[in-house]
Amino acid sequence: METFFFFGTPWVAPIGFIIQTLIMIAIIWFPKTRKPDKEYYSKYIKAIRGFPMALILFFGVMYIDVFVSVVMLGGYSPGTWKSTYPCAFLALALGIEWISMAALVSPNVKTLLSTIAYVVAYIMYTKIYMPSTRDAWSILGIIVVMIVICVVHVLMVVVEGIAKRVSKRFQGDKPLWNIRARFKRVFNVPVNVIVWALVLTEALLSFAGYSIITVFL
Amino acid sequence: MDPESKNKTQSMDTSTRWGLIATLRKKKPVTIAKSIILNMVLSFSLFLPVFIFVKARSEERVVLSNDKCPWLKFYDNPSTTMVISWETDASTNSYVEYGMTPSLGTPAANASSVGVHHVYLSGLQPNTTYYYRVGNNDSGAPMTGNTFSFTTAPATADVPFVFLAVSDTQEAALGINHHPLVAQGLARDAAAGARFILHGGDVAEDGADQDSWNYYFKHAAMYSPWLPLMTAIGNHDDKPGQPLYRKYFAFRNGGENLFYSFNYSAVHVLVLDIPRGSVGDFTTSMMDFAKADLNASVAMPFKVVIFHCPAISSGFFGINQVVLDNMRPVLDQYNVTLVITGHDHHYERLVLDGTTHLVIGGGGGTLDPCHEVLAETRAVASLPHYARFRVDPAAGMTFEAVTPDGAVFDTAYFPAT
Repeated sequence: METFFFFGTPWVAPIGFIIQTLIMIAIIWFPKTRKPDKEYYSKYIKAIRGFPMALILFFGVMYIDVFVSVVMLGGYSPGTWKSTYPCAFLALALGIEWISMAALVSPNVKTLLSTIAYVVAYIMYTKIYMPSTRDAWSILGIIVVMIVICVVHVLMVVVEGIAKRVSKRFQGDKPLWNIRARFKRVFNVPVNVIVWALVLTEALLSFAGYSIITVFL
Repeated sequence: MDPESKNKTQSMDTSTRWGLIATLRKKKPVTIAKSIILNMVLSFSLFLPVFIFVKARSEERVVLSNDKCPWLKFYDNPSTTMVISWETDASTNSYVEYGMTPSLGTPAANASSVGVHHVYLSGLQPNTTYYYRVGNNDSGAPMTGNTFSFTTAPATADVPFVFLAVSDTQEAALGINHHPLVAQGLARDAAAGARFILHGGDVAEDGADQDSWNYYFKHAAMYSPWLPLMTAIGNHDDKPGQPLYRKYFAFRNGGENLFYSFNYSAVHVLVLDIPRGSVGDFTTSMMDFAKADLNASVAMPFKVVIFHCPAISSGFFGINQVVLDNMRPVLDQYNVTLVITGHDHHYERLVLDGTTHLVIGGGGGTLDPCHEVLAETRAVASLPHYARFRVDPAAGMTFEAVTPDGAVFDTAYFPAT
């Protein structure tokens, strides 16, 4: 089997903790950036949120890949589930939340195009190109792919701005759908606090060689 | 539209566009300050568990005294020799009592006053358990320390036995280190009768830092008094002149080479000095020694080569072409059974040209991801581990990858060659 996963499980919890903490800080400082079915209160928040969302999407796709590689494709030897499965299932939960948050809750055309382009590029790069290179470090190239997609995304924002100035009837920036209310029902503040606590616990335990399961079973 | 309604509409528009700023402006300064302080407290509190963890681990890391439990090493023939080492905070002479029963009876001493003690025992009986106690006889009073034991190698190549291997026991920053956990597994196997441990290098995080070595030996005390520790030097140990590495691992002549070999029953072990996998690692003297040594051991049923930097791995350091170019012909020519390495902090078993390569870098340092990308890979995992080898000269050698709690998560079998 020649599958590839950048993260494996060791870094899922520590990096997951960092990102989840940043999300918690955003919840603390910007609790009401928008109502579920409305535009953002501040255009500045609307403008800058694209960058953290791109980062979250980047890791979200990798985290889903970790889960698929470890649990579904059996990338790890049997007998290590106590050490690896807690991280793998945390990766699944975090990946679903982050990808949803970044791209699936209320995407417009350009967000959806960028996301599809990134997922396709990730799969082609890590599952087809990388096994042919036999060089684990070539994973860093996926960062370049992500940057290129971000640049294309910014260009689409510019084109969108020009289109809006030319035609007031331009609707390309409107969300294709909006399931924010349902998303908030699942990934609300208490759930985020629980996920944050789980990731923190797993990260600290992993530093000493344990996992949530090995310490209790 | 009446003027009042118009003002209301304008106000709503402004509220929508500048809602956040307007909301802040509406609030009293005291309320804003309270909110900011509360938000800052909440934000910092998110990191509080990490600070507490790091603080606790850092304090646990501190070893106030250089005093160390004994550790062992073969210095010549494993059947008849052993060097017993330990360290004391204050310089004293070195005194060992040993014997084939717990009542001991045979003294061995070194009169010079030192902090790191090495007492060389020779003329031991093969395949025999010896008990020993270390200390000094400066005061003339009898020693009262703990009694430990070790077993010498069999004189013949037909005796079954178990040996262990571990690598990269180094600590990492912020108290991140799982060697205390792995040490528990090694100690369990020591109690079950394992005979020695091969160490793939990076014993300590900083080879020039006394605290790093103190921290390693603090936890190695769970197994080091019972199992001879045969080390290959790693890049973290390899500071200029290797002063502490040489100080602790009893290289008798100071300038002695860091590559060596020994036979233990049916197993021939060749330890090489390849800490970084750079061109400079492959000295003519080492490569000549390796070829001559393997050539002389061609009749041995199991030939194990251990060094730090892997030739092939799907971990961070990947494929090292320098190591591959230098070692591949030698391993092929002399039909080496097994290559043990570390450096990459994960577990991996690969088969290249019929030779099994193990990467066992999960002995204590921060675990790294691994990438199942190589066709040569047979098993891969990122978790704390060590290796156990059950040698039966008549049947073969069974390898087991073991987690600290004793679970075997990968195995391989090597018939005698």
